[in-house]
Amino acid sequence: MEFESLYRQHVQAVFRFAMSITRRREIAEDLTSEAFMALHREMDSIDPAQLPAWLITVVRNRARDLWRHQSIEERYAVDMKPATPPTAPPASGLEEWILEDAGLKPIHRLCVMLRYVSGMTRTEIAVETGISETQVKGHLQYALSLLRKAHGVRQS
Amino acid sequence: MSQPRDWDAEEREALDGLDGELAEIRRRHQDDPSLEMLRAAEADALPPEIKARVTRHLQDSAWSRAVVDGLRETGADDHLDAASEDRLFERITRKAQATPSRAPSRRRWSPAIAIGGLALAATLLIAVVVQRSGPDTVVPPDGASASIGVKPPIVDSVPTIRHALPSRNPRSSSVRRRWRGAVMRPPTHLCGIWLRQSTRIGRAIIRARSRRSIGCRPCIPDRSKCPSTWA
Repeated sequence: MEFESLYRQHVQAVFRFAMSITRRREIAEDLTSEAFMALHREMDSIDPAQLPAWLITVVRNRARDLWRHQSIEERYAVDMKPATPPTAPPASGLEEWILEDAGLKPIHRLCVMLRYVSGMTRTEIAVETGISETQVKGHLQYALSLLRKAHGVRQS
Repeated sequence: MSQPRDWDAEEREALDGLDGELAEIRRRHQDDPSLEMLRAAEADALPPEIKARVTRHLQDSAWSRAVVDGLRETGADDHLDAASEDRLFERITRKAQATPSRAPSRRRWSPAIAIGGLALAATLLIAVVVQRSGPDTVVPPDGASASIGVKPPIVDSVPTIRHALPSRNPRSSSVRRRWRGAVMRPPTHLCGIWLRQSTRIGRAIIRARSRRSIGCRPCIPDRSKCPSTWA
């Protein structure tokens, strides 16, 4: 099979996987490009039935290299302190509600966390999650309506 | 970073009175792994040493597990539009043309490897044939034993072979020099030299065995028959 047809067949899946790792479009394009460059070099020895898994493995390995070589390990050493210090108080009522309310789907929780705890704007959340700003607003409105009910129950 | 002032009226109203709790939650999770790190861990795209630490963190933190669960539901709409797809293809092919491919290199070397293998097989075959064709196969001339009149002495084969080989030091032989020089030559040239060298050794062994069978002493290298004056 020709290289171009393999590229057209698998590029979207490979790019989507790269985006799921980085959320940075330019980096995702770089990773995708490197995967297909590797395919171009190994065209004679690769069975097309192994695709796109082979390409995705290349992307994954390149992403690991990025983490290694771009001094992210040092950042990690600084960033990655124990999540919950031993002296930290137990989770508050609001935190319990965010984590356990049965009406919230994972995407609702994520939007609430990013908006009200991480302090992101709706636009930033849209970029981070790959969903539209309108969807972000809808998820937040739904979550707040549930919060209002729960808050009212708690206060009463 | 958005601040409460960035919130709309609906958000202010819903979160009224929860500022303290929100501040506490922020404080508790300020040192959690970043979103990009959690995302990479979820895709198994972290180096093992970092991934092990993130995995341990995820086991202890329901908050980060909830973040990862949410991230799983994102990104379904990510795609390259047609223009980006074409641009990326052009970029890949341009880079690929600039970088030599490995496959043609393998194709260039494979005949040489095959020839080398054949030469090795031929050498082994010659060695086996020569080893099996001993004194039984070489018939001495009719008049040889009569003219000498004594039983030919049994000569050890090892020194015979040693004397039968060219007396030149093989390290400084032309063949050796050609071997050294052949490093930069095509591999087929190497195989040709190797084959000639093997054939030469095989011939030397045959000559040695011929001399032994007719009782010749190894007096003249590279000669399979004794000169008539010596007999």
